[in-house]
Amino acid sequence: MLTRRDFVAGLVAAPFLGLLRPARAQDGPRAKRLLIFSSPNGTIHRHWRPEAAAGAETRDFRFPTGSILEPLAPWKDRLVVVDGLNFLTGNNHEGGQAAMLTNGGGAGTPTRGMSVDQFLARRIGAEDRFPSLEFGVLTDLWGANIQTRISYSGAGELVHPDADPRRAFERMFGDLTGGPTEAARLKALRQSVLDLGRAELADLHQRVGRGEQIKLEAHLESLRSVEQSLFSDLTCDAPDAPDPLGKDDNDNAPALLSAQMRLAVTALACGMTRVASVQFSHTVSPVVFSWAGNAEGHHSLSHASDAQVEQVNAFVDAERWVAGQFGALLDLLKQTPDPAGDGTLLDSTLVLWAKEMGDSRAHVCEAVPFVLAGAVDGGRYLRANGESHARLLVSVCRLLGVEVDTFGDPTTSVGGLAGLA
Amino acid sequence: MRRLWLVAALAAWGCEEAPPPGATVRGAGETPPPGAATDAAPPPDGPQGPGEPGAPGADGCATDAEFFEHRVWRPVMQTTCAACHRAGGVAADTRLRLVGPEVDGWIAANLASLRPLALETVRDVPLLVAKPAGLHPDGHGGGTLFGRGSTGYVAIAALAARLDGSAAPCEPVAGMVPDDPTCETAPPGVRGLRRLSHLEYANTVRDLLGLEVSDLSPDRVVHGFDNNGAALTVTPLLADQYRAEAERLAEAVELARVLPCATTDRACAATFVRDFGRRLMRRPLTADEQAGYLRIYDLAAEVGFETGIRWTLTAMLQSPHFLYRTELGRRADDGFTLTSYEVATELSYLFWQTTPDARLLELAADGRLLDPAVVAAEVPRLLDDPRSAATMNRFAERWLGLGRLTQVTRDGELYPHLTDAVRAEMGEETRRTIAAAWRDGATLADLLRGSSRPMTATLAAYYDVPPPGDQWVATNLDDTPYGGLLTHGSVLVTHALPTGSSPIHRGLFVRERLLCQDLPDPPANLDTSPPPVDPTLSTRERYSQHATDDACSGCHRQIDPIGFAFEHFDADGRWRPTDGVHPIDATGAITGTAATDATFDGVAQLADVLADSPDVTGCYVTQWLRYGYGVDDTLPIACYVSQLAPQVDALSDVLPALAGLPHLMRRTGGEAELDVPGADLTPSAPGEVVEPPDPPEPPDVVDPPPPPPPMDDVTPGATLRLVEQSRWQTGYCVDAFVLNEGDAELRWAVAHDVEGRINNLWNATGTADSGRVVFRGADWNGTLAPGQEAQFGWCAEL
Repeated sequence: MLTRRDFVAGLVAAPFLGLLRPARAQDGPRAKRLLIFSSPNGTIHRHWRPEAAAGAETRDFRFPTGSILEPLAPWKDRLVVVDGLNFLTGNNHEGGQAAMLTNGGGAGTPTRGMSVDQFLARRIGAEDRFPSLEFGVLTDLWGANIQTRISYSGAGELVHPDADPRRAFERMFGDLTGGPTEAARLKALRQSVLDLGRAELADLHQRVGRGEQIKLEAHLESLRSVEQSLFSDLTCDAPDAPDPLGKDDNDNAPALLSAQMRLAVTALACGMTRVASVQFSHTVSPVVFSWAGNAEGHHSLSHASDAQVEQVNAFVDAERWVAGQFGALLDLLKQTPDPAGDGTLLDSTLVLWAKEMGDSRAHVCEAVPFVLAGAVDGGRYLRANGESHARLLVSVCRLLGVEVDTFGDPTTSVGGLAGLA
Repeated sequence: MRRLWLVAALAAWGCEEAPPPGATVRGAGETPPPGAATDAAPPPDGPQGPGEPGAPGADGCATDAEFFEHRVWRPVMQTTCAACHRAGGVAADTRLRLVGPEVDGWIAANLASLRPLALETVRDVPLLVAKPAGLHPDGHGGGTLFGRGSTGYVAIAALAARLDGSAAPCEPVAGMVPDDPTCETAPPGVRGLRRLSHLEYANTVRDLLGLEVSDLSPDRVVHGFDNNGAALTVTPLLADQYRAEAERLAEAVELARVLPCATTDRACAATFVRDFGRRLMRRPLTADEQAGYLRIYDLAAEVGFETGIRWTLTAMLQSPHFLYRTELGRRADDGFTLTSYEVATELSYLFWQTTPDARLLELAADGRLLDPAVVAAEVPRLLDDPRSAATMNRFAERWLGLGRLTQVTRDGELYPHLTDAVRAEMGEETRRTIAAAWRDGATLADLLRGSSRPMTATLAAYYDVPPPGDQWVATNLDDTPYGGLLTHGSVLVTHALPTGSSPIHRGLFVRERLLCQDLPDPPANLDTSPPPVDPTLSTRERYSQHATDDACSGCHRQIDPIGFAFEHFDADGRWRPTDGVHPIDATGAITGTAATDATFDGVAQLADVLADSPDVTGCYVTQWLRYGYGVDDTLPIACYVSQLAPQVDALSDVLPALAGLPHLMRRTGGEAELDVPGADLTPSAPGEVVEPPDPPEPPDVVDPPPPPPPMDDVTPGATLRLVEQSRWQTGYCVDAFVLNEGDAELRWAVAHDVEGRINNLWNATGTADSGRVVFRGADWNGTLAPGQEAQFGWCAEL
């Protein structure tokens, strides 16, 4: 009997067919993929802000010793640090988490309430094994609600991350263990089961009111996603499965994050998806960064006033650890070759570190900190001076080759962010 | 957009008198550009019917004043809005300023303050709705308080519609005033589907297959509960988990457990589909449904009988008929009556959170369960089963937030004795306490006051109370500071901070979970730094700042004084004589309630106050309505609570009371909706036995669906209507409606000259993205019966 590795090896003769295109002449790096990294509970600006020359855009900046972004100093030339963006469509913990990647916007707006990752997934990744993949760390403990989710497939429609690396791995690589005949039979059976489910849903659909029809339509759409992920060819070898870890254990967070980042990078490298997110906890998260020397919950620490020196220091320690993890993610991308031969994954992937609030002590979404990296003209510090963060979301779309003028609520702003696209 | 929110609001009241679109709603059909100020004309002067303020309620219809007091003020505004929008509150300078019943003429004053906010619209939504619902472009200082469809949203939207004169449906006072004992006018909920919650799925699989399931992606939490029917959907992630789980379970199941026959042939497979299908789907399968599963069997059985059965089971476990509990019923009188099988299912999941047993299915098979007397006779058996006590414990875990007991972090240096083992025993202590109370007919008051608790030697040593005679034997705590539910380690640890007690967490716990008064999050632009840890001050002294700082006091005076009563209990759940070096002042107060306002000193007195409060009983019933029926206050909860509360003395009275509601058997629904699948196999009257049909033969060739219309051709009889939803500088979005005006079923295709270029199209496919585009329906809306309408839409850039 063939093993999964043997089976996969048979396919390696035609690797990444869809990606084998001649490199286009272009100015600067071109993003082919999007990777979002999020971490919660705002920031303390005086510990986050780089020291920089004046102006809306400068290449003359540095991360001060002891500051939150200092661990990213080795990556400075690959980063665009964006300061001064405001959320105009949401405020506070929950409102900020909801607006972070959506800029609000209901069903009747061009982006229909989708978050930027889901919007782009439909544009650039609709035919991929997974239009997008979502990896979470400590995202299951409170169940699903507006505070604990960052992605939306439509207005108010939460997209859930998988908080268990082991389970995410199994979903990515499937369970093909037989030879070609068995694989074909398995495929036929699964197809007929999905077809029957579809027929039953359609029958049920006729019998219910409009509200329930929407539910069933979402279910049908989900079956289509399952079909796509089951039946598209796997074009790379599975790495070793992640070690089993308690997905809800506070102190496992570093190991969980490391495993999830590896899976996200693997998924991009294998061409399984072009859009992925790694979500570290969520707003109001009580996670205790014990591995960074913290004793109190991150949310409590995020509200410490300047007079509470010990707590502020603990918060900065936690945030510096997150910055270091973002650096580790960039390092993983840099070590991974782009499957189409365009340098490394870092060169062809746009990476966005997003937070849901500005100054956490004030519970406001003003000057919300963002960091872009990878496939973008790096080494710059941008001051947006109160512009809507919709401009950043528009720029992210444009950097991925998707031309839009607005994102989310179309009345907040039109156009991208100066200095980006 | 205006029409949509309004109709949704009315529908959510279960109001059958929703105005026809465009008929009475000012502004319907007009679509001003987003963000443009809509200078809505005030409604014409003069009487407007029963909706006019001050107008007497004709025919028992509520006046605006009554509607405001009972539907808006009591359940929503008095806590959620008036916390900030009051004299001296953080939002005192805004245009909304509320006064409470202590002021003469308070209702008229509040309505006068609210009316201009109902008349002014932002993007066609009244300011009064847009602000708290997060729909205002400038946001709301207090954040988004009400999602669409929530109690608050529905109540305020309906009030706005009354105040701007656009709708004044008759709301019977009888169904509104809380002390109305009859509640006869309250309609049951809307017919629909409830996906199994993860707990129900696990219990059902265990009962039917004898197997444990894996963790599934967590569901949306509504009011603290994870079984809200409207929120339970199947996302791509969950669909894949259901698939993987179905394949794994079908592979692992012991076939002898599920097979009804000893032979290994197709006849046995057909019997399996019929009989085990009836258990899994909780009703007899139709002939078509059985044929569908047998097709899977035939395909898989090429390898062998066993493989055939396992794949048939795989398909059944992914079927919507298994994953969703239907509450659809069949048309009867002016609404729908659930089928007897649906009633069996409702009862079983309500009491046991699992699939109906043989007895319930037998009562369903001949329709006897449609007789309320038969249901009533069945209730004692359902209640006496240990599974109902387990249901109470699962309810309590969500109600009291105890699921977090093992997760909340504590500083190991400050609380070295709070080990994982101690936490586990604390959880067990509470579960055993609640199960015993349920079993012994104890009341909620008994549970709150409690003087003895099941104890282990470890726990007794931890709490420093007399050791039990044996493991989990009840220990009398009369001479200790410990007692009822509020002093359980599980409750105290769950509601505290990693490094200390938390008057805020504990006050909020009482306010939101025991009194059902939801409070807003702290507003933005407020410095909410917690009180600095100042060794010269006690916890209480530090937190007292919240009550003196004007900006914070609106909310915190409703929270902290309750939480202070817990100050003798540290974050590890243990009694402490002092707070560090500081003496403890555990006096506190509850304000702003209907019947619970009081002062107290310490948790025991607080527990006494709560135990005697009808507000707490009402809240217990409210939380059970949410959990038991999976609803988010879309039922007329206040009315139901007033009906149920007098029936609830013992804790366990609540389930029989719920089972006595008309909602157990009746639903409302639209004109065009069809009966539940297989309704024709379900008897509609007691005594009429209907046998499931014999297993079908292999199916003949299935009739092909009507052929799709040829390309570029437009279906005769299908008309297209467009409603623009929004428009801005560089784009617009429209909703499109296709109506079959002919006499025959058709597969529709419609053409339209599209302005600009389509960048988003939903519920249809298009032949191009600009110019003349032919649109065709998707799988589920492509075929229209005569008179039926399909909806799709697109956004385009200009």
